Amino acid sequence: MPKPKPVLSLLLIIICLNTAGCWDSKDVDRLAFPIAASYDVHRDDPGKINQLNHGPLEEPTVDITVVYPNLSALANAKVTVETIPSSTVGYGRDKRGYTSPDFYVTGFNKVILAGEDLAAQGLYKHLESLYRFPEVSNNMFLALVEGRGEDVLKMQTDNADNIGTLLYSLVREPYKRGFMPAVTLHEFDVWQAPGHNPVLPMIKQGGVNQVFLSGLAVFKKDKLLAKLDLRQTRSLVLLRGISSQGYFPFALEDENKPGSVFCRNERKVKVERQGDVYVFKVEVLLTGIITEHPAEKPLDVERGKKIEDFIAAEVESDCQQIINTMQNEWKTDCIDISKYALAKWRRELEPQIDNEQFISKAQIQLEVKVDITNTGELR
Amino acid sequence: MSRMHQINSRQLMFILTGGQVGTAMLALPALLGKAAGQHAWVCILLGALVPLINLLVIENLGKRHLGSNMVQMFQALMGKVAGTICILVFAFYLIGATTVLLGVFARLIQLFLLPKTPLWVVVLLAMMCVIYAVSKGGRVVGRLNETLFFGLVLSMFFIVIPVYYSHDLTNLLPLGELDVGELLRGAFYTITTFAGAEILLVLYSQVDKPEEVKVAAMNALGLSVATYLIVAICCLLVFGAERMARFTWPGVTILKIAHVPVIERFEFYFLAIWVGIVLRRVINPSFAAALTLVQLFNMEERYNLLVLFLGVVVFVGAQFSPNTMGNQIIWNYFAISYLSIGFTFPLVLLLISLLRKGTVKANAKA
Repeated sequence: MPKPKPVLSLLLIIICLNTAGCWDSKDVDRLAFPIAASYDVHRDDPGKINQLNHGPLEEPTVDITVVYPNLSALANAKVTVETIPSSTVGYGRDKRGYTSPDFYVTGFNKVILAGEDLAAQGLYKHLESLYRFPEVSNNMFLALVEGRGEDVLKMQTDNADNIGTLLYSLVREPYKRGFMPAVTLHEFDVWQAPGHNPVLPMIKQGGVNQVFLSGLAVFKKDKLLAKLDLRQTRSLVLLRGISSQGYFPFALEDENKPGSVFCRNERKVKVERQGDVYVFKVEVLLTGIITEHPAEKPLDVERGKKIEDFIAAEVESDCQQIINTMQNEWKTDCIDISKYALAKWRRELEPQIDNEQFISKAQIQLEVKVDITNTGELR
Repeated sequence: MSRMHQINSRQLMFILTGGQVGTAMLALPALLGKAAGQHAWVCILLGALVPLINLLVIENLGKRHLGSNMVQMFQALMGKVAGTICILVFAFYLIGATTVLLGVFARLIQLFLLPKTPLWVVVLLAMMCVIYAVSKGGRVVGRLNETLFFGLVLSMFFIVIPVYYSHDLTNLLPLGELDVGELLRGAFYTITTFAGAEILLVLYSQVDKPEEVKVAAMNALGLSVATYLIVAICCLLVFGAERMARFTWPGVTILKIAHVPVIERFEFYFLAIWVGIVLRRVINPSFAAALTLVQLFNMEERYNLLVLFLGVVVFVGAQFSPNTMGNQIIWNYFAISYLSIGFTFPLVLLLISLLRKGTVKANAKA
């Protein structure tokens, strides 16, 4: 009688699959899937859960707030929002083990909010455990909150399932809706390499959805350096060459009705050395279509050129202000141009590229070009 | 020569590539980034010279001793006693290599996929597959390598996709500013990853058309180099040398940045494919070790028993594999072992062969 090899093989496969799965299996109905979390400077412990506080290693420094939906149909609240004070972010998971009845799937989280005060102290030590933990995706979106992240996560919103999903939608692809970057854990990390500095979108309480994108936070490595309003944000995004799109208003001298142009942006940078001075030639290119021109005079080549020149002048003026502030006040390359110098003289420049003098003494020549390619369905 | 172990040159090519491309590929970019910065990829080209010479030496040796298997060649050139000792050292080296590679593979799987599953379970599951494949002989090992190679091609697509989402060309620049010391240090790290070429010494006598061995071996090395280059360049583009050096497995971490809809977690799919691919790296030296010992002790009929015994030895050895922090030390020893055994033995044999010329055949007959 021939040996039943297929049966044996099948049995072997089944045994193998079960053997490996036993240790790592988790029931889905016992899992908690966080959507958003925030890290803030430790404030207080209203839930009195910080009973482990005995000694310097237990002294809370950071408040970790997490939002996760309640999967039970009988639960009154849509989400659970919980704040855990802890000495480190990783150690906070230990405390959560005592307060949360479900297994917490850190890797499922989508958004991390950093409180303003914590960002001023430096974020890397708080984010390190996320980079180290294999379960965590480097796709998590990061944003800075004007104020405390905890306060944002504890807000109710009527226009979305919960505050977590609203925040995720808000920070996921803002560059498709305006001049605002989406920044992930990965980008925040690589922007801390020599010659780079990170930026983060800023979130503020207010507006119809309770929260809105209020500008851009500029960092010197992992420490918050400055907060920009939306107009400054647009300039920085253009200077930094972050691919995005949005509207620019214009008004020609002989027209009293302003119009608008929808543009996409691009950036080119060239660098050369003139003696001890590094000369950066930054070219910002805006390509777009006229979306609004209620003036009576029809658009012709001459008027089209005037609109292009108007927008170019406005953008150049705004961008120049950012460059001046960057070189004289921040003394930090937040427009990401130092990397082009590194690409030519890396060995020589790498040790000094992040010194304040490098970007302060650099000569930055800006040119803005606007190219209107279409006028829409009207002339 | 048993037909059970006979392979064609195409299969040889895939076995040699399979013997070189393994788990180390996923860690290599970090080591190279630390050693040579943006020139990490140059180290791979430089490091490939070692297996290139290794393969050419073995091919030349095999051509000069057509019809002799590795054991006969060793004993003919070095004498019975010295030859036997060298063969045993070579076989132990292959078993050691298998153990190290399996241990590293199991740690990687534990880290990313099965964190709570005990190491012995992961190793046992892997060894069951390895023992089964090797017990079926060279032809099956050849076909397995041939089939699983396409998994490697697929996994390369996975590695390239994150570059679309995030890359910076300046991370590769400047191309100049080369430092010989840095490049050599980086090239040394690549030696560990390129180790595996030496199994040609065992396989040469099993190839049906020896005249095609040279082309197959060169193609195999080309495929391995291309694979390593793709991984290193992609990691450089995405992370840059400075950030890349901080990761333990940049070849896996790179997958965590892709925003592919529906799939979401790219690295888990990659690792599922990778499990199959990387087992070749364990199967091939295991097969080479088993074949060497079978030829040495002339125990063809007990081949399966020997394979099982080797499997148990490797299983036990892999339990003592170091943690991630100890990997670097083990890999350095592995590189030195490859240079002193896998690389040097064939070279010494070729030199003896060149010096003794006509006397070899007489010795072989004796």
